[in-house]
Formats: sequence, C-alpha cells, structure tokens
Amino acid sequence: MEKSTNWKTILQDDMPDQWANEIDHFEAQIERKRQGAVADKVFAETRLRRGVYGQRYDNGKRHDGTETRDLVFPCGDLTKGPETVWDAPGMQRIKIPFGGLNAVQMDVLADLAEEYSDAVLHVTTRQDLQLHYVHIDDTPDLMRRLAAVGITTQEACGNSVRNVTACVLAGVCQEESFDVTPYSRAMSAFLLGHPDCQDFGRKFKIAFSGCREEACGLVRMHDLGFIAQKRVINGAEQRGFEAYVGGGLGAVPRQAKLMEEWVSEADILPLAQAICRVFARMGEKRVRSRARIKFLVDKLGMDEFQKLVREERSSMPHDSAWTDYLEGVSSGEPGPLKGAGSLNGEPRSESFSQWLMTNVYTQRQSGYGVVTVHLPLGDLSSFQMRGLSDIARKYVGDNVRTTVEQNIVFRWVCESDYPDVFQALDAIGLSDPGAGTVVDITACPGTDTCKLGISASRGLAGQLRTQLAAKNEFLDDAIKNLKIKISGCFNSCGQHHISDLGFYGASRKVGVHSVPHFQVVIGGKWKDNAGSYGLAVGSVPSKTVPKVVDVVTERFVQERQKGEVFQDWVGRVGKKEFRAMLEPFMKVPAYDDDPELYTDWNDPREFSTRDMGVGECAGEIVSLFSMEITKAESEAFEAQLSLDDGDWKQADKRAYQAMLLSARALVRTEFLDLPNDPQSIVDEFHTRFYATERFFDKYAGPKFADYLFARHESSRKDPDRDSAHTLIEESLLFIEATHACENRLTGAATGGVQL
Amino acid sequence: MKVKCAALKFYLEDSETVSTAEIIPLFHRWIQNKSVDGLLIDVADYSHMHQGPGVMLMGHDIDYSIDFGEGRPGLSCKMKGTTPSDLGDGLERILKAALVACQKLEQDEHLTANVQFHTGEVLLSVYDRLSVSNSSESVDDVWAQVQGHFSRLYQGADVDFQVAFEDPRAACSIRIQAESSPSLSECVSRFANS
Repeated sequence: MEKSTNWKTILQDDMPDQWANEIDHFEAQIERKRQGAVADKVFAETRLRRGVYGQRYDNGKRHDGTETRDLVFPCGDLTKGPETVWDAPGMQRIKIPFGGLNAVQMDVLADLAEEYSDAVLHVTTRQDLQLHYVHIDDTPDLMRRLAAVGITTQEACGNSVRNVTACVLAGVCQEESFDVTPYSRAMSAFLLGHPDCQDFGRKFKIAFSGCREEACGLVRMHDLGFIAQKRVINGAEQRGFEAYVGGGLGAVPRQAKLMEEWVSEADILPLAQAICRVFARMGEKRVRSRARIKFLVDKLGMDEFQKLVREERSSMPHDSAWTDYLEGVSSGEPGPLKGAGSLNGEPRSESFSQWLMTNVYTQRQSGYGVVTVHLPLGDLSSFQMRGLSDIARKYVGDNVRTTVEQNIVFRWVCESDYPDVFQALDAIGLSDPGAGTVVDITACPGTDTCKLGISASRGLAGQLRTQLAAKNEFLDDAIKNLKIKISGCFNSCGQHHISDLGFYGASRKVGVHSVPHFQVVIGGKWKDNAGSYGLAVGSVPSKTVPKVVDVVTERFVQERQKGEVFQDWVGRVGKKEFRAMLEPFMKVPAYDDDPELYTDWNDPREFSTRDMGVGECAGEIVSLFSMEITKAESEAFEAQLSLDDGDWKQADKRAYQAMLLSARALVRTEFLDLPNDPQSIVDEFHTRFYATERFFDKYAGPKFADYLFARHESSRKDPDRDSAHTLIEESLLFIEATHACENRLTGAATGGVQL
Repeated sequence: MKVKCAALKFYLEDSETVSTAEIIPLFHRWIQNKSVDGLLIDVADYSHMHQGPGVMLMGHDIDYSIDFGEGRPGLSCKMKGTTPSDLGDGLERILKAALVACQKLEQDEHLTANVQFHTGEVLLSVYDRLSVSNSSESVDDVWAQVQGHFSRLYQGADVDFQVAFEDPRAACSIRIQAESSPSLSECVSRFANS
C-alpha cells in the first residue's frame, strides 16, 4: 500500500511559494472560522476571493415540490457566510487566464472533478472552469493540486479582478493585428493579488481582443478592454491598444466606451493599475447594485474619469513589472507540435465533412487549423477531459484553450491530422459538429446550481439544442449561424444581451401559481466585440420557448431579404411586430388546463422561486482593513501551529510577520502605496501612528507598538520555545491593539484592549 | 485502509430500458420520501453528456446516479467525505445503499420499461489518489480490504476480480464478477442485519 500523507507535504516543492502561503492562510482561516474567530461576512469574502462560491440550497432549505424542508447537515449551526451552511455543497471557480491549458493541467482537473466534485467539469462564459458540489473542507487541497500545475483560484470570485479573457484565436487568427496572449497573461499575473485591487466595491473584468470586427474577446461588455492595433511611430511599427472602459452586462448593461485611442504596449499595465486605483478610491461601496465601474464612469463622465486616471497614473510609483514581461513577448507563444501538412483528397464520411465545415478554423499559418470541441452546455466528464489531454499530447502540445462559448479548442492542429483528431474526439463522444452555430447554445447554470437562478436556463438550452440538432440538416443557412444565449435571471451570466435570440429567466404569477418564464431578447450583436445589446420584447412561459424559436426563425427565413442578417431583419420588422409574434404564447392557460406549463425543464416540481437565495456574485462589502487584518490574524494562527509542531523558528517568524501584516493593514488605511518590505512598514507605522501617539492604548500607552519595534530590531536567529511563545502572545496583543486603533479612528465603539 | 471517496456500480441487464426523463421525477420522489440512505439534496441532469453520469441524485454523504460510463448504464452509488474513513466500512454502507436503490428502481411502478439489474458484476472505484493509485498493487490491497463483503454478497460463489481500467491516471477501479447473479431481494437480505 502506498504511504498516505497529505497533499501539502507532497506538493510543497511544486507550488510557487506565494501561492502555497496564500492557500495555507486560507486553510488557517477555515480553521479559525470553525472556532468562531472570523465574522461571517469577512469569511464569505475571503472564500469568494479564493473562488469558493455558494450554491443553490446552501441556506439549508429546499422546496421538494410539496413543502420547504430543512437540509439537516451534520455541521449544525456552523456557517461559511451569512445564511450559508458550512456543509452545504458549493461551487469552485478556477481561473484559466486567456483560457490557456496544457495536458498536465487537464489531467489534474479531471482528477479533482472525480475526487471533490461530481466528475463533471464546466466551462464558463469567461473561460473559467467550474466544479460543483464541492465541500469547503476539500478546497485547500484542491487548490494545492491546481497550484502545483500552475493554476490558481485566487480572485476567481468576490470583489476582485476576475479572470482575464482573450480571443481564443490570438496568434493564429487571420484578421488580428497581433497576438494578444502575452499581454493578457501579463495583465493577469500583474493584477493577481495586487494591493491596489483589494478594495473594490464590486468585481472587475478585463478582456483582450486582436481585432475590432469579430466577437473575439467581447471587449465592449467588459469593465476594461483592450483591442490590439499597430501604429507607425517615428518610422517604426509599434504595438498598442485601444482601451475601453465601463462596459458590463448584468441587470443594467452598458457598452464600454473608448477611453484611450492609443495605449502603447508598455503602458497597458500602469493604465490598468491607475484605473483600478480610481475605481477602488471612488467607486460605490455601499450600494452594490451601483458599484460596478460602469456606474462610476456614468457618474463622472468619460472626460473627468479619464482625467482622474491620468492624474493617478502620473502619481504612481514606478514598477518594473509594468514592462519586464515585454522581453518575453518577442519570443512568442507555443508553436506547433508537428510540421505543417495538408488534408489529402481521400473521400471522407459525411459526419467528418460536417464537422470539418463547422468546427475547424483555418489558421493564418499555412497547413494548420484550430479545432473546436463542441461541449454540450459547456460540460465534459473527467473521462473526456483525459481523452482531450491525450489528444493535446499527441497533436498540439500546450495549445489548448477554453472559450467564452463554453467550448475547448485545439490550436495548431496539422491539417493532415484532422481525420485522426476527429476520430479521437469521436471515441470520447465529442465530435459533434455545429460549433459556433445555432445548436451551440450558451447557458449559465441557472436553477441547476445558482442561488439567483429563476428559470432553468440549462434545461431550456438542452431542449433547444436537441430540437435544433435533430433538424439541423434541414435548417436554412441563415438560421444555422444564429447565436442563442440563455441566462437563468436578468444578471446575464449567459450573455443573453449579445445574442441574436437571447432569453433570461423570469417568473409570472397566474392565480395562486407561479409559471417559469423567459424574457425574449432581440437585437444583440455578438460580432464587433459585442457590438450592441438587445432588449427584451416580452416574456413567454419556459415550456413554450422551443415553439417561439420555431416561429421566429421560420418567419425570418420567409421574410429575409437577400443578404439580410437576423439583427437587420429584427430592426426592419420592428419590436412592435416582433412582440405580436410572441403574443399567442404569452397567454398562460389555467393551471388545471395545462399544469405542464407550471413546471420548468427537467424538474417535475411545481415551479416556485422559494429556493432562490442571496447571490454572491457581488461579494461582500468588507473594508480593505478587515481583509488585511484577517490575514494578520491568520498568520498569528499559523504561528501557533508551528509552535505546536515544535518549529520555534517558524513560529517566531510567523508571529513577527503577523505584526507586520497588522501594521501594514493600519498604515494602508491612509497610505495605499506602502511598499511591502518590513523596514518600510515599520517606518511608516512609526511615523503615522507611533510618533503621533494615535496607536497608543488608553491604559498601556505605547506598549503594544513596542512589541513590533523590539522584534523588528532583533535578529533572533535561534528562538526557543519560550521566546517564540512570548512573541506569539505579543503579536496577538498587537493585532488587538490595531483593531482598537482602527475602531477609534473610524469612530466605532471600543472597549480597549484587555490586559 | 482509509479513503475519502469510493463508488460502486451495478449494471442494468438491458441498457435500453432506462429513460432519463423518467429517472428525474423518480429521484425527486426519493428526496420527498427519503427513500434511500443519506442526506439527499437535489437532482442534477447530465443526460446531455456522452457516457456521463446521466442523472444524479446529489447527497451530502452519498450520491446516486444512473450512470452511463463505459457506455453501460447502471446505478452508481458514491460515498464521499471530507476526511478519510475506513474503506471496508464505507463499502458496506454503499453496497447496502446501492442494492436498496437498485431494488427500488426494479420495483418502481412509474417506470415504463422493465428495469432489471445484473447483480453478478460490480465496478468498485476508489477516488482518492492520495491513498490509492491505479496500479495492480493497489488493486490487490483494495481487494484485500473489501473481499469479505463480496463473499457475503455472493455467499460462497466463485468471485473473480480484475483491474477495470489500464490508464494509470484513472481512479483505482476493480471489476468484480461472480459466477452467480442472485436476485436483488436475496442480496438485500444478505446485508439486512448489519
């Protein structure tokens, strides 16, 4: 029998130190929450920033079709956030910057899905991966196993910089200005855990596109987006970007506005940092529905916002990381695993031909293509993921990406390998044609797992997919290329605003019963980087949507003029006429006449919205100080564990670090740019809080601050148990004194430190 | 041997008999009526996936699914915990739970087809790579831990076991085959008093 130890020990040399420490901190926070030492809101935001998200029914209640029943979990009253039961299964979001994956990572993801989830991996509309039904106690090891292969979940949720997305064709596209991959990678790494990104009122999403015309990175629906362009400056061609800011979907969608027509490649990171600083300083913090940056841009106006950002940019201390990565840009991204080849003229099966037509994009590099693996509803099994990793190893190497259409692509596939790749995909049930067509429907999790879901977006997507695939060969070409996107509620995680035909979940009361509905959204545009947003024209019962799609598409085929696309036809027909098309479906028969309409897709329970909970998309509004002092407390806790393990040196080091983190948290309430080295922290703390006596306790005076100074000035090469123990006690008192000081300064009631 | 997660699967006699559209309401009824072992939470529909988990009845400590893995539908029952527990004890629990679930499926009057399980073959998978990898050594060790339960299930009939999947990345899985295929009621009764 193999020796069982633990993942932390096994993987300690494989994880980046900083990531390993962050995960240790998170694990310590879990333990402290168990002990009641962390407030619900602080812990909720802490776990959200690690990608640990809530899931439907995690308040411990579920309507089973007859009544709402308690789910009696063994944890009792223990919670992991406001009204969120500890043992309730949750979702783990995993950031995949620009969607880039390699075979080793894919194998690990498959293992994690089997061991901690339901053996299903889900690709999201922002190139993340998600695992559902995960227990919070499993998350530290899950994160370690990811970290060991270069994946982090840090800031996958919560009020933070989310996954940085990019066009999946970057580097191989026929239309792009240049490959945006290295820039999106650098942006992701630079802002990950960045001190200037820790005090947002809401999330912040960034995207990169290689061109303006295609859908590409969907820049115009992002908080911050970059579109690549080249300019000749002083006779030399230079790389730069258009920068757009203030976009977003959600209940109040906004298109991002052009903020800078030209940002040189050397300036994109500092520009993003400056925007983040302005957003952190001036963005709404209390009213979460107005806290995205789009509202700040609205409020200030673009000119004023731009002025503030430029001022911020000019005042920021220089950071070599702004341009260090540029040295690696010229060396390029991973190229082909195999030499170029062409598809020979041998006769092929009809299924291969169909797949070739819809799922393969010809790269600008002769002899290669991009193969899209069409994942139904964005799902794939652990078994299929391993099959895909085998294909990656054999045909493309590290050239795999997740897509915003919830698919996976293989780039740099040699044309002569197309038949073999098709066969390999067929063997694992992933050779369906229709990628990017009307059958390739995007849907958010909806009522399947989301706390905010109103209607069954995945159920509807599955139904439409089955219906359309069955008659795909008979569909008019004008219909085949339509985009259908579905959200379970108005929050638009399914991106319904930017589709030809969009749907979002709603509920309507008919007598004493509720009926699941979907609002029908038309007029959106996928191309031009999410070029326009559609509007809802009417809501129809969920179960009638497939008929609605039939009626609308048939009429489009009948009435379209030569070359007319769906969006233009909608514009020509007009919303009034479009609504008239829906009206026959909008009348809901009485419950007794058609009870089927009173249920949702794949759910026999009579429909109700009673299972909806409080969403966690917005994160918790927790002050920067609260988040940072929590890290100090966690470090002090770790120091105690080291003491228990007999590692005096580590215990001493961690207790000292806890005091530094605590002092830093306090200093950063008024000096955000505090350098993160011990001397700077101590100096600034001394100047601002010691010399001014603001830190002094009513009874103990400077005593607690002196603990920090004493340890800082001593070297303590060989601490013994007693000295380490004493320092831990001092660090705990110092942290308490820091809390008390912050309370005094912010006007909160405090009883001082107990001596 | 302590592990966090393990699953058993009993295969259907006729793979054509199961309709996922009928399984979804059936699993919802099981939640309403607390028909099977474990704290039952919700039903997840993965019937759109090729050879995937089909329809799952998600629980806190046990998941049930009409699983389509290997292209062979069957009932899968998975125990899961956040801390490792004894494989033998856990297996006994999910063996009983799976047998009861299979029996309920065979007897359910709402299912239009005649669902029947083949009890003479079981797939056992251990999803805990920290403790058990997919090697012949591990398979022998796992078998040593669980053999007694299968002897009890098959009451002295010859039982054979083999590595189920050659891929070293796969979870350690054992295919257990007996020369006899006792009825489900017999199987259930053999574990009734534990």
